[in-house]
Parts: sequence; structure tokens; C-alpha cells
Amino acid sequence: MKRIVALVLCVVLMVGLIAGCGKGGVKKGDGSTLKIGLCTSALIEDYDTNMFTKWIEEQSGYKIEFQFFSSQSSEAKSQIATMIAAGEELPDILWGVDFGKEVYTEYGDDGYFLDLKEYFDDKKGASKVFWDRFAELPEEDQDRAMRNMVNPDSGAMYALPTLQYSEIDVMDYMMFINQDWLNKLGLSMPNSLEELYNVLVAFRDRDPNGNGRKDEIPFIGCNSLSGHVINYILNQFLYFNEEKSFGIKDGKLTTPFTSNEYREGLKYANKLVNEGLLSSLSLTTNATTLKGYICPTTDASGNINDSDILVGCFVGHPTLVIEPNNPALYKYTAMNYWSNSVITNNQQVYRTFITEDCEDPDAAWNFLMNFYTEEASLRLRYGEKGVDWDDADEGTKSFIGYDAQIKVINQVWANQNNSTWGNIQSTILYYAENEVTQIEDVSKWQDYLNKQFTATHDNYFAAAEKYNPKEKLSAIVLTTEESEQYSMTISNCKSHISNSRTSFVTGTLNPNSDSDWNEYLKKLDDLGLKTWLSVAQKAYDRQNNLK
Amino acid sequence: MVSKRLKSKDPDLVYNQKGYAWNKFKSSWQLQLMLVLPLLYIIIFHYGPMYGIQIAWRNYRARDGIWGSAWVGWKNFQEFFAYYKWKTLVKNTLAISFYQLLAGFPIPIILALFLHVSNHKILVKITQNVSYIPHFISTVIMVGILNQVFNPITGFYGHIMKVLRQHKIISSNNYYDILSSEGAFRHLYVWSGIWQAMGWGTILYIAALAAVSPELHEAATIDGASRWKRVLHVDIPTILPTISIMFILRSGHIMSVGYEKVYLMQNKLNINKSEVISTYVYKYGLAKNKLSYGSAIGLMNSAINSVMIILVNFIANKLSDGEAGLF
Repeated sequence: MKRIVALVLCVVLMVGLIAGCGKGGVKKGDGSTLKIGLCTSALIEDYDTNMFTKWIEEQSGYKIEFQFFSSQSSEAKSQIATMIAAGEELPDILWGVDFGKEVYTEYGDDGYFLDLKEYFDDKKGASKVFWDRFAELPEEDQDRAMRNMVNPDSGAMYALPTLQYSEIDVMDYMMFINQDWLNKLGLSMPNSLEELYNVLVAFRDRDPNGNGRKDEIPFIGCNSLSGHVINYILNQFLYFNEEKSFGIKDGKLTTPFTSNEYREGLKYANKLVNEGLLSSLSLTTNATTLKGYICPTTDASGNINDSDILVGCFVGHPTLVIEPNNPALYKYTAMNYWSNSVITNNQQVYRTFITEDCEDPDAAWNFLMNFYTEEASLRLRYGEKGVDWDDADEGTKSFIGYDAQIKVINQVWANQNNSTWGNIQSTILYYAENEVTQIEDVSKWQDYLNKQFTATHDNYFAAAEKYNPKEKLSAIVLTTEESEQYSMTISNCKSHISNSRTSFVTGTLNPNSDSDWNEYLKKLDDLGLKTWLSVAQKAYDRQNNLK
Repeated sequence: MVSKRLKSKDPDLVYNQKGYAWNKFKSSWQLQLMLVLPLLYIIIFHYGPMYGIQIAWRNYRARDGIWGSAWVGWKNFQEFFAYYKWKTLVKNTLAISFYQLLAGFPIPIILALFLHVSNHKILVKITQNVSYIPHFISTVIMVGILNQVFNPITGFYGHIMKVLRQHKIISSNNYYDILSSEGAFRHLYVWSGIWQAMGWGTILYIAALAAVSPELHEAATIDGASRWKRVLHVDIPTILPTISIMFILRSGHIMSVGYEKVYLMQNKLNINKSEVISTYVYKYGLAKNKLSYGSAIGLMNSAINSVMIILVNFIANKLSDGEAGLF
């Protein structure tokens, strides 16, 4: 009798479960506790009293217990590797740990991370929230995410992806020029490579900052986001997207880094460096240091001395390389683009996992699904709703002229705060760089910055539309076997290409010398360029037949 | 007390008598007991983990464990030699290591002798304290200081250049960056290391110098030896065994250049001189979770280090008729 009652109860419960899922929303938790391991951010005051923690607990119906790992991903990785090697219990969820694809696939194949395919496949139920938001992404991004989410060998899906879309961050290089100096020297905005060269020569020789010293830096970039000065120069000669390594023509992969145009680009860059027009500091400086070069120290009243300005032309993301409220910014305007303009991939990372030690994977999954709602993505980026940001006012525009969706009250990103987790993970964030943020009654500084952003954005995308090749290369995903077998060849080739590029630009190798150039090509062949190319071509063909 | 008991128990015990060693051991068991802890430490933390060396010949996966992972023979070792720049790695490692040894080894000795010779006690104490302080600076901060000082525009060096430009001594806008110069890398690395470690390194030698018998000095003074001659003929010979042992120990590190500082000082432009074995192991072994590969390279280094230590010890023994060697 008891057994029958139990059975009936089970059936009733099952039906209830299925019905619950059928409604499609995120199922509310039962108040049980989930243990989350995350990489801490120094900017967050206290994760336990954090406003996002409170919100997500309330929203999901689960309690959170934290286990903290180092803020440095390499350190966190080895902490977790040690735990695994020692057989220690992992937290239920690992949130935002950057293992890299090879490593997390291995952990997944070994069973440390759960295969979430079942959940992802339940598109109407368990993963409805995810797929609804996923559908909003551009087709190209969806395509790339689909390729990377699934392990090509086994079809397993170990990670919960973080997918972002931004129109600002995808510009490979953002160019700004010192308008003040142009005016002073009676020059106009350059519109071709030759004009740029002449402007740079004038910057170097005609003492535009008027201090009598020859201390001007005509052209400089940096090694971080949107500061790739060498990529900018190369793209004047051919379309070169470093991220993808290869180019594509009529369905066949091409190698831009062995072409004559590429060599011409290197010659031009080398000439600029040799003549003191392009600073070789561009290759080693990070954005923070570049900030110090562009923005001179202000005096007590917040002014700067014109004679302290050193930089003529810079490549870099202005929010990273300009000191907030430093008047140096007003000297610079967005430059024109007249050639290929590489649009890099939107950020897609795979850093959230449910581990084998999780006793209730359904609960962990349901909990994480709460992160994929639009509100959660905005809270992760902008902080507490109603305190740090709110819905935009009716009919307002953002700085690039889009309809505003939110207005920022209190800037929390990259500032000390207690209303985010300091990291955007396991979510889908649309317009990550304030593209839909309402323009408030902003300061002169912010207003100026917005104008330059708009100009850059518009010019950049117009140039990309006009000049970039029409045929686009989709992401190439190798199977685990392939990447294991060829990883040495590929990393040898990649590092040879990038080291040689630096050497050609700085003059350690001479791009004008045929022997240096041929040696570079020969070495590349010796390292197995042909193998790499054929493996990649095979993977590319495989993907496109699948489609 | 120990010696008393020994006498009372067994008054006729002589050195070559059977059971002497055991009795001696037994009689000083309290002392032997104190040895247990360090012994345990070495067994547990140094000999115990050695069975893990085998992963150098296996394809280690955490799930299968050390004993369960598949054997792959010499694959991990071969992979290192398949890296197209392995020769550069070895060359850079050895160059830095030898430079560090040759430039860095004598300096604490010289400093210790100076401090020993000086009669100005307050000055000696101040010098000692000041020169110890850099030892406590962490590597990250040390490299931060280097970056600040040598920045060609905003650093101390940049400001000197600015003044030189102002006075028209330099008339070019070329901001020469020492930090990204291939040629300067080794000097920067080694000399900043010496600056950091020289004070701390004197401690051992100062202790050794304190053991120099004052009678020797008095005798030498009576014979009319100057202070300099006393350093040469009294102080240095006394600490020579210490110097030799330190040198032998140091030569056992010839293949190991710590990765932290090199890694932090690396950039795109000095990479040809700054990529050493340990940074490579970090990037391709640890960061990509290829623990077997990392172990294989580590094991190779240790093997070379062991050979070096034996070789240098052998030479030291030869030169000193078996007195300066470690074993």
C-alpha cells in the first residue's frame, strides 16, 4: 500500500515538474543553498552584503555561499587545478574562471564539470530564458557562439557562455589626432596615407607645442584594447584581422601575413619608426601608461600647460587612455578612416561551469538561468536598479543616436562599489558600451567624449562597409584531436609571425631586405605553415558542409 | 650531563670498540630527537613527492591520477625540442644565470668585508639595516619600481632626458626605452637583483667573519700587517670554506631562473632575450594545464643542476685538497 502511495505521489510530483517547466519562465528555487566559486574583484567591497547578491538570491529563490578564488585568472586556475588533483570538493558552480578551452574541455571530458547539453536542448523549458535572449544577437554572433559552445567531438556542452554585443569595443583601432596642432600649423585633417605622413613630419619638425624642444611624439598606440597601431597601418595595405590569422577568398583560406601587401605595410611602419614618427613605445606600452603620455599633470586649478602636450596622434580606446576630466582631451578629435577597418569579434567567453560535486544540478541550472534575463545583465554591468541606474526617460537618445533604454545615475563600472560582482559572466549583455544609455545633462568632458565616440563609430563603420572584403571568414573550430596534434605547430607559427612582425617594424629585421623577408617565409614553411593551413581549411570545409 | 652519564655507565668505552656508535647515539638521544622534525620535513616534502616525477613520462590527467595516467615514453621531452626556439631558451637561461652568479656572488662578500673592517659602529648598523630593506620588497613591486624609474617619458629617467632636451644637449624626439631594449634586459634584471639581495647576502659572511679569532689579528698586527693585508691574509682565508660552500650551492641553481621577475619584465620587444625556460614552462605547461610537459622540462633542469653541483664540488675538492668541498 505504502509503495503505491509513494508511486502515485511520485507521478503527481513529476507531472507537476513537467507542468512547471512548460510555463517556460525560470523556476523559483526552494531556498536551498548553492556554493559559488568566483574570482574576486578588488573593486567589490563585500560579496556577502552585495546588492547584486541580495537581488539574485531573492530573484532565484536560492541562498548563496561563496568560495573565493584569486582575482588573477592564472592563479585561480592553479588553485582549482590543485583542488582537483587533491580530490577536494569543488563548489557547486564555478563562476567566471578563465580556464581556456583546452583545459575546461579536458575537465569536462574527465567528468569534473557536468555536460549541460540536456538543459540547453530543452529549449522550451529549462533553457527558454537563454534561447530567448540568444535570438536577439546578430546572426554572425549566434553562429560563432553555437560553434564554440559545443564540443565538436562529443557534442558535449560544458560551459554557460557569456555573450556580449557592443559597437564600440569591436573597433580594432580607434584613432585620434591633435586638432590644436593641426590648426597651429595650418594643416588639414589627413585623408590618405601620404597626407598622414606629411602631417606626422610636420608634428615632428615644426614644434607644435611651442616649447622649443624637440620632444613631440607624432604617433603612438598601445598594446591593449583598440590600440593596435601596427594593425591600423597594415590595414591600409590589405585586410588583416589578427584575431583570425587567415583571410578568405572564394572559399579558400589565404595567408595575409605572407603577402606582398603585408610586406609593404611593414615597410611603411618601419619607415615611420626609423624617422621618429611612430614611437616604438606603442608596442610595449599599456593603456594606463599611455594615459600618462597623453595627459600631462594638471595644476591646482585643473589646467594644463600647452607646452606639456607631447602626443600628436594616438590609437586607443579613449575611456582607457584619457584621464577623466583632463583638459588634454579637448585637443583631440576623431580621425577619418579611408581604408579597411577591422571589426573584431564581440566578446564571447566560456567561464561558468556546474561541477560534478553539485548535488542538485537542476537547482544550479535554474539559479544560473536567472543571470540571462535582461535585468540581470544590466545589473551586472550598471549596478543596482533605481540606485545606480534606471529606465530611460521617454524619447531620449544615446550618444550614438540610438533610442535610450537606461539612464545611468551613478557610474559603478570600474569604480569601487558594492552593487555588482565586478565581472560580467554567464549572461547575455546587449550594447555593453553605453550605446543605449540616455545622455544626461552631462559634463562638458563627457559630452565631448560622446561626440568623439560618435564620430569614430560612424566613420569607422562607414569605412568598414565601404572597404572591407565582402566575403567573411567564420570562426574555425578544430576538434580536440586536431588541436592536440597540431597545437605545437600552430603556436610555433603564430609566435613566429607575431615576433617577426614586431622585429620588422622596429628594425631588428629589415623589411626592405629580400633576404630577411625570404628567411621569414622560409622559417614559416619549416615550422609547418602548410600543415596549419590544410588543417584549418579542412575544419572550415567541414563547418560549411554542415551548415 | 650527557657526558657524565656516558662516563658513569661505561668508563672503558673507547672509540673503536664495538657498539660505540650505538651507545653514543643512545646516550645523546635527546639531541637525536630534535633531528626527527627536520628529517620528517625532508622525507615528507622532498623525498615523498618524488614519485610524482614519473608524470614526465606520462600524459597526466587529474582524473586518472599519477599512477593511472597513460605512459607516453619520451614524448614530453621530445616536444620541448620540437619548440622552434628551445635553443634560445637555453641560451637565455644560461646567460642570465651565469651573469647573475659572476656579478652577484662576490658583491655580498665584499660588502661584508667592508662592514667588518669599518670601525664606525653606527655607520655599520645603518648600512646593514638600509641594505636589508630591499630584500623585503616583493617581486611585483620591484618591477613596478623599475617601470617607474626607467619610464622614458614620465619616469625619473624621462625627467633627466627632459632636462637634457631643455638645454639642447639632446636634439631628437627619440624616446629610447631601456625597459624594452633587448640589450639592456640582462643588465637590468641582474643588477636590480643584486641591489635587492646584496644586503641580505652579507648576513652569513658577517657571521663567519665574527668567528675569526682575534688572536690571529693581534699576532698579525704585532708582525706589522696593515689592515688591508689582514683582510687578505686573515679574514679571507678564514671565510674561504664558507665562500666555497655557498658557491657550490649556488651552482646547483644554474638552470633555474625564477619565472616571476622575468615574466613581469617581459615585453614584445625584449622577448628574444627575456624568454627563459621557466617562463616558457609557465606559459605552455602550467597555464595550458600540460603538467606532464612542465614536469619533463623541470626534471631536465634538475638533472643538469645536479651534474653542475657534483662537478663544481669535484673541482673545489681538487683545488683545496679535499677541504673546501661540500661532500
